[in-house]
Amino acid sequence: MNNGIDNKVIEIKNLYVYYNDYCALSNINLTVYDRDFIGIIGPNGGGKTTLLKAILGLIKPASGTISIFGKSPAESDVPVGYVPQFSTFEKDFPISVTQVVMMGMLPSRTKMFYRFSKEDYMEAEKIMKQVEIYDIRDRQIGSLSGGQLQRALIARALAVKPKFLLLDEPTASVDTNSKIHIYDLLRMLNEEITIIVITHDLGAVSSHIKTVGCLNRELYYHGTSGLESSVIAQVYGCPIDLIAHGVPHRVFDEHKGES
Amino acid sequence: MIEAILNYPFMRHALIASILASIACGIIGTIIVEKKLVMMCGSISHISFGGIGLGYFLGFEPIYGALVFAVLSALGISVVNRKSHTKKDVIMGIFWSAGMALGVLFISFTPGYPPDMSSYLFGDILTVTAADLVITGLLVLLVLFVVISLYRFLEAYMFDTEFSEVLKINTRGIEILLYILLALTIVVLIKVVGIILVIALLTAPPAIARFMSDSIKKEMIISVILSTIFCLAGLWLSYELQIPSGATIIMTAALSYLIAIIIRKRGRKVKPEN
Repeated sequence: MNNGIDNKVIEIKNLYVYYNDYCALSNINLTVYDRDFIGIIGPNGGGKTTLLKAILGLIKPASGTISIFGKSPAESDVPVGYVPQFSTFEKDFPISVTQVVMMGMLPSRTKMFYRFSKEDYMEAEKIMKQVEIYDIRDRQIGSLSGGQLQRALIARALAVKPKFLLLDEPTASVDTNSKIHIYDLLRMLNEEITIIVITHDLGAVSSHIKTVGCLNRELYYHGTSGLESSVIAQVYGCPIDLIAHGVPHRVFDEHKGES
Repeated sequence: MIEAILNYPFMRHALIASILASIACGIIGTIIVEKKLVMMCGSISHISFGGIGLGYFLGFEPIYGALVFAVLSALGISVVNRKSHTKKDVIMGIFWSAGMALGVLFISFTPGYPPDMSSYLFGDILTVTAADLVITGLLVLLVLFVVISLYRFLEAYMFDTEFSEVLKINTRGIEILLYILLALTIVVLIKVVGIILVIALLTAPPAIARFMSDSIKKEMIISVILSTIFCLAGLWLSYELQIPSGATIIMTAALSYLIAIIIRKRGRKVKPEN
């Protein structure tokens, strides 16, 4: 509500992204409003990560526009919380949980002899308590479980003081308990910030996420309502799940295919 | 050896060169190992041989040729690295050999007797001059200044470049700065251990240091200490046994790495939970 410009956080219009000749994203239109909690599902190679990277400005679109509070990703100075997949860094890198979280507080302008302030450390402490990793703050990231590492990365994203959070499969290598824990955490965070999460976890989609979009090169997104099984079937190529229209976010059938 | 250090200036120079080179080597080596730039640094060191050949051919100090070739190839590789769809290792491999070949051709074009290249290929720390020490010292100051003043940003860049980009940190600028430092360090190390042997001295100390480090800072400091130990031990052994210094330093480093791996494997068997 207080974000101005019709409380639109992200607006994507007619977005196309190509890798050489391969079309990764085709005619994507998506408007994300303040406090949205959007789950994006879809088959592997369907362009989910590409979409996040385009929003982050890491990938240049072939055509179409992305605007973040009215500015392009390159021009935008809105802090974005990004939780990548594990593969973007080495797990055996010598760094502690606290240092990873503090990384989110670095200023974008490279400053000589930059030191974190006392307030920065207190803020990091607060965030680590919030996502329940304070007890393991001195551990090496290589020694963490999947769930702990994921929460450390969420803490790092929160340290940015983001206007919105983008998460790329936050529960991919995490046990069931941690999964529930992470989605509970996200739902709590959603009271204050907008969240877009890529997931394969249709259970979470049904129980925690407000709206869901299906991405397989093209995006099927209907704002507030859930997805019809026919749309999912179209996207995945086979009927794998059923989400009721009108009764959003309720999965009432086991999904049988790949996800 | 202590007597020799007291009596001969060339031994004093060798000692100071070992320590200075180790500081640059430990810090830059850590970046090379953590960012997986080993192939790149092998490529740069070999390409710089082309510059040495050019120096002989045109009659200027060969190490300046090496310097120019090293810096230009580092910048070239940084451009190649940005293009995600090109075959980086193939390109680096080809230029690795092409640089050497260019050097050989330049030297063959040089009139008169062919010069002895072995001190460039395998290093000769006993021929380090006072002027070399000044240059090495300046490089060490530059490396220390950059790494200390930009530590937090370097750490973020090394750990997760993509996230640093999302924070809008100038990762491209940091990368270019690091690559230039890397090229300069390699050229300085050519005097100590030579073009062919430089990779082991850059990588063995941090590879051992990372077993006992919980931060990049610690890894760099331990690497500097280890590198100094290898250089001095190698220097001492080569002096006592009358064998080539560069090769002895590298064998000391390589054997130490082997021992470190064995100790670590043993340690793991005893303590399986970590």
